[in-house]
Order: sequence, then structure tokens, then C-alpha cells
Amino acid sequence: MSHYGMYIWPCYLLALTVFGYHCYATLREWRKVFKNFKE
Amino acid sequence: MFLLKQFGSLKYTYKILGHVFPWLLSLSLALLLYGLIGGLFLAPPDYQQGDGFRILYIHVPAAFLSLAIYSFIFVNSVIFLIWRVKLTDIIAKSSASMGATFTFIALFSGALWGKPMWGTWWIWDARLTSELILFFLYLGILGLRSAIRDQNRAAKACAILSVVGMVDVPIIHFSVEWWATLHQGATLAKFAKPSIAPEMLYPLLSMLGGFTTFYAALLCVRVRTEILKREWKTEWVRLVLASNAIQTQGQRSVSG
Repeated sequence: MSHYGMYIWPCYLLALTVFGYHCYATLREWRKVFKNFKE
Repeated sequence: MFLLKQFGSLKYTYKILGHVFPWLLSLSLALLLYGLIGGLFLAPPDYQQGDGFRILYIHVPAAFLSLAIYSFIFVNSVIFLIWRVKLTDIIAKSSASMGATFTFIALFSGALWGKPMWGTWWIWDARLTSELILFFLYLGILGLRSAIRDQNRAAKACAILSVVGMVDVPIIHFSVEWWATLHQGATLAKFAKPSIAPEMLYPLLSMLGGFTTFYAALLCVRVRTEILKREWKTEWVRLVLASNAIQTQGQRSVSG
């Protein structure tokens, strides 16, 4: 791998983090609606 | 008229999106998996940029979605302002934060690509500056929504801002043609032969599809959540919530 390759990992890591966060935030909101209804 | 009525029916939309979601999610995961394997391992290094070109597989789909989501918000805002279809405001609201994040990814990955290729993280180039303005527009929409307590006023204000901000989208798209910029021109033009080798192109198309279907899948869940929040007083929503509560209780007693 050329030395330019070192720039690609932070990029993929950021994308993975953002995707993960969006999934987490979306599911948290979804569950909150049902939890609020039960209470 | 029938279609508009069906489209506007929140109960109908809630049901349809529930059926569509698993298909979109599966498709998204499959496309992203192929795109990642193809982009990171199967595509050969670029003859000039080496492995650095692999940022393309994140940067291009994120930049494409930043524009596509804004255009989608614009269409929904126009429909909301003219016909007051509630669903269009829900879609616009649910899309804004994802649009902002994709714009941020495009800017961040662009900076990471710019450093080794141009020798600088950032330059006040027409393409980069107009994309940064788009990011601020997204932040403006999100801020405006949370600043106004009355839901109807917030929806109207955000729709107007989205319509006004749409002027930035063609500027971003054509900036590389209108001005002399450091940023390269389009790799995938609509009617031209792509200026990229097929081994690099197919993973890119797969990532484009994967990002878009991922956005669509999450949008399904977000729109459904927002529908439940807004319509919680209606009988059908109470039935949905109650049946879910019974199901969860049943599962707990079986596992317990």
C-alpha cells in the first residue's frame, strides 16, 4: 500500500461511525415512542 | 387525485413503509458489502494516486446524497407549501439531519483526499465553498426547526428556507464547469462514457446504491416514528402501540 493509503482509513472509520450513530439514534427514537406509550 | 390522497394518508404510508423497510435494508447491506470488498480489495490501485483514490468510494456517494437529499427536501417543501400535505413535512424533517451528516462526510473525506493530492486540507475553491454553504443550510434548517415551538410555524419556516436554499444545489453541481477550480469535473456524466476503469466503476456504483438505500431504509423508520408521534391521539395509532405492548409482554412471559 502506498503512503497515500494512510488517508483512507480515517475516512472509512468516520463513515462507519456515522452510519452506526444514525442507526442507533433512529432505533432509540423508535423505542422511545413505544416506551412513552406504556408509561 | 386518488394517488395524492393515498400518499397523504399517514395510516397507509405507515403500513407501506413497514413492508418496504426490510427489503431496503437487505439491499443496502448487500450493495455496501460488495462495494466495500470491490473498492478496498478488488479494484487495482490508481496509477497516479495509488491507494489514496479509494476515498472515492465514500466521498462520491456522500457528496451525491448531500445534493440528492437536499433536492428531495426541496420537492417535499414545495408540495407542503402548496397543498399542506403533512407527510411531506415529516419527510423533510426526517431527512435534514441525514443530509447534514452526508454533507459533513463529503467535506471531511474531501479534506482527507485534498491533503495528499493538492497538498492542502482546504481551499476556498468554488466547489468546496458551495458545498460548505450547503452544510450551513442544513444546519440552518435543523436549528430553525428546533427553535420554533409551534409545529406548523416551524414546518412553514423550514419549507421556505429549503426552497430558498435550493439555489445552492445547481451552483455546487456546475461550479466545476463555470469556474476554474482545483476540484476535478464529473467522473460519471449522464450521457458520456465514464472516465474510470470498470473494476473501479462497479464498486462505486454499488456504494452509490448502498448509500442511497441505506438513507431510504432509515428514512422509513424515521417517518414511521414521526407519524406515531404526531398521530398518537388517533385510534389506529393507539391500536398499533397497544398491540405492540401486548406482543412485547407475551415475548417476555414466554422467555421468562
